[in-house]
Amino acid sequence: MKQALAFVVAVALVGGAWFVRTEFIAPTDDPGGTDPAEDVAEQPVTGLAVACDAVLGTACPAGSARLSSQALVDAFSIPDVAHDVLLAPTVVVEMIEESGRSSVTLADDRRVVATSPIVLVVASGRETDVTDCGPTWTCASSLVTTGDLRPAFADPLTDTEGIAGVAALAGGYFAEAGAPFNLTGFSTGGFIGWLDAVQRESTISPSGVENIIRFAGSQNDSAVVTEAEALDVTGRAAQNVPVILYPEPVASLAVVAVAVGDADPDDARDIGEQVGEQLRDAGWRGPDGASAEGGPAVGEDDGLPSGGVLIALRQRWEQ
Amino acid sequence: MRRGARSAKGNTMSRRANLAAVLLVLSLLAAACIPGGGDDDPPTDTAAEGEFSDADPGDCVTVDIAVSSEKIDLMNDLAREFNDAGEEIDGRCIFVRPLRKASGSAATLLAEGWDEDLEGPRPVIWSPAGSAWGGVLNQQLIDAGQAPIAPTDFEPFMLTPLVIAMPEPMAEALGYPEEPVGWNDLLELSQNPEGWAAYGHPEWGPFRLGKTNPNFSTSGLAALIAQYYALAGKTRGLTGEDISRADVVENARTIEGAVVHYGDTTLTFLNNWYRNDVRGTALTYASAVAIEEVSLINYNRGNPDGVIEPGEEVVPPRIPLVAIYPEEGTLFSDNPFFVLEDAEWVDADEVAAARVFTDFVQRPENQERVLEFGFRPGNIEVPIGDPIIAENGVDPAQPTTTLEVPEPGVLVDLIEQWGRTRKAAQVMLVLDVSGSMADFASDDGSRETKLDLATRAATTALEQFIDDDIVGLRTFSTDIAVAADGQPLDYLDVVPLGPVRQNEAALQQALAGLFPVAGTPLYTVTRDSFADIVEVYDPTRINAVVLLTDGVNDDPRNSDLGGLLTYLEEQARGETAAQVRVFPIGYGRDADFNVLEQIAVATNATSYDASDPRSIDQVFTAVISNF
Repeated sequence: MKQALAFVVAVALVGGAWFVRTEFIAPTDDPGGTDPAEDVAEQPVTGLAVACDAVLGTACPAGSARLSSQALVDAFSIPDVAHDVLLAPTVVVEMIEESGRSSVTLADDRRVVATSPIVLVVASGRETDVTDCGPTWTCASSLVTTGDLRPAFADPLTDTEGIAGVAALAGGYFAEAGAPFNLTGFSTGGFIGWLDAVQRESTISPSGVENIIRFAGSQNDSAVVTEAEALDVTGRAAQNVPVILYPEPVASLAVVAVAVGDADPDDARDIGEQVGEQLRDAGWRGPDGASAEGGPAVGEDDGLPSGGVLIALRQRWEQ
Repeated sequence: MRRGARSAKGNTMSRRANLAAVLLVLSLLAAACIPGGGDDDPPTDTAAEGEFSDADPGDCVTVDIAVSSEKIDLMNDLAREFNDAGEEIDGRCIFVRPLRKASGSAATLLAEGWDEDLEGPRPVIWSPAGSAWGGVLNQQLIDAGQAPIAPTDFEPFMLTPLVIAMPEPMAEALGYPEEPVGWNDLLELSQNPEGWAAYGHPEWGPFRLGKTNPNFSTSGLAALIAQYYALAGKTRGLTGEDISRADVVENARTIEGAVVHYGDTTLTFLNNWYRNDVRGTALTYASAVAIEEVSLINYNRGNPDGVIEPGEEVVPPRIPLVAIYPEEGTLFSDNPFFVLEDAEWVDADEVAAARVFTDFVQRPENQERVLEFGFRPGNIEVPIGDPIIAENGVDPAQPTTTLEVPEPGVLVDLIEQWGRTRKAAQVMLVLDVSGSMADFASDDGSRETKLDLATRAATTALEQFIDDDIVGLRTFSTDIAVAADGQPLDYLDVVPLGPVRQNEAALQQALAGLFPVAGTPLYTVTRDSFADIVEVYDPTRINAVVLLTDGVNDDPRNSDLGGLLTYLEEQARGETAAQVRVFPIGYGRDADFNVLEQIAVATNATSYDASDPRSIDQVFTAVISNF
């Protein structure tokens, strides 16, 4: 009798724990500060705990944990990772793997479901400053350090879009300096001075494009964001519509759905396809990187350094 | 869902330490409670007011909103419309209840404890004038070992930039609108001993600047920041070193030297400007005043105080103001909507309901209402249009540079430095010691008299003067003394004018020793005090009389109000007018507020209402903010 009762209690506890995890813990596991219940896509996640990079916005599946890239790195560094599927740009997957802290294996099946180039949005009337010298990230980088361009970034310390934007701009610096875009390059005096100037002249804001419109470029006259965000926001502007530029070399975010640990890669692929559709509806490009808006095509190379280098860049930014 | 911007530079612990310092200052400022409101939401009124104060939400999910003063009317309109629309959350109706609460007061209350009996219900949404107040609140909470509650995610509800308002002919004399004008042009004007004569207009007299006190006014603080950025030649990253540079300090002092007077709200300037415009003397009252764009629009519409009373006739001024967007840059008031979802008193239903209302106010049709009130919409989908148009003296394409709010430590230094560089004052405190001052200050059982409270407030107010100020104390009552020739005297110079720190002990001692005497020779003491300050007028100082009285003139030897007002007006008019102002305080219910208002108007000052004697501390603080 005691054994039967213990079995019932054990089943109840396990079931209760699963229910609590899927219904409560995952949806509110949001140290990045984004409300997971807000504006998420309607498609259900059947029995799987999905971790979704907040840069995917409303395309994150209902019930998934929307986390910043930094929170994702942390979430995959604990002993008992609570997620079955990871939805994120490839650079974030690399950041998790190359952080040296990852406690799980991520599946090799990483089919890209959507892409979006990193663009430079510039207040109307200011775009010629950039187009006259390219547009290239090198040119943009120079304009920022001389105080002639005042960009906004999402927070590079937490957000994927922010660190990718800083990396794109830093790529411009390293291309001109002829220094390696890696830890060695980060320790040079030239780069430290460059980063100091960029931090001095830039603004941290998740609404950089909106602020260009709202303040007519008087607060920040440019913003480094994904093309998808740029198209969405500029499409809603009633005035002060800024210009979207594609500095060379093109950098981009490529979103993948990755199975975590023993999770079935097919499940991850199914979720990835659903999310890919949602992302394309939200202005992201398809896996082939082709543009319907006239922008340059995105190649297979995302143009960004490895995840480990991005982590080091983030640390440099914090210092 | 959007968040405020911050500088990319320096997210460090040292910034927190600096912030803690500024919070201390801001808390002190916020705690100095001043009644009244204003276009720029002076950060210090405590009363929770609003047409919804006593509204019964029934079984609805109630969303209480603490709203800064300048947008309470608009918020009431939107709340009424929202409540009537029958919005629901999970089948329950939503009832939105705005209460007016000045930004600084709300930040302090949210940090230190919100007494619902005194202050009204704790808010689910907090909408201060600027998002910086959210950071102030959070740092206060962190310093107290609590979690922050003001979210960094917010949507600006509406916007308005700080501008330098100038009468159109004066702006044109500086090259407006073809030439950019900025703080450095005002510096040049302030330095020029010829004043407007250097620009071909000797009839306008010297350059006269109006700025509010940065300790009390959001506009005043924004103007101070903009001024220092301009003098330092920067648009962001203002440092302690920048503001300490000898040339910057000297130039700041020069600009302050052109100030007419300070004060807690820009409405004082706008009301006086408008009255002078009616009399045809607008150009000699002030040359430029730092105000919000919305206030300038209201002025040019003939509504200088921003409130249209029933039956009030709205007549545009003869000489309109134009907005100078300083070429060196300016700052915005961004009116965030903070949903306080992390506050322990806010539940999930209230958060959900608050978000429904937040979405409601962002709807294009409601953002167009924002425009009607003269603010710029927060929603980028709504174009800026009428009344933010050139015909109203403003330019929707400006400003071209928005300045960064300095680090908290720099803000503290700025305010401290302002205390050292602001224009010094020469002030005669004139206190009524008539018999009625012996009455009890309230009927709540307290045994303190009106004179007790007034002398204590005056003593406290002495601390607000800076070392360079000259202050004297005069008391008045009929037959207060007898002159050597046997004639009765109506006033006594208890402490003659002198440097305040030198006089401080004597002033404190004298105030402590005052006692009620007889009647109220209001007209005689007003005229003579004004004349005495005119006699020792010092153009390098703000020259003023602070007149506190609790009654009507009952002097059998002088009942000539018309003569007094004519005299004051004649002295105060024209380009060579005596720049001496009388700031009357009506004290207690029996004060002659109408006469006191006329005295203030005649000298281009403003009168203060302390009809509840218990408010005299706050009122004295407000009065002294003019210096």
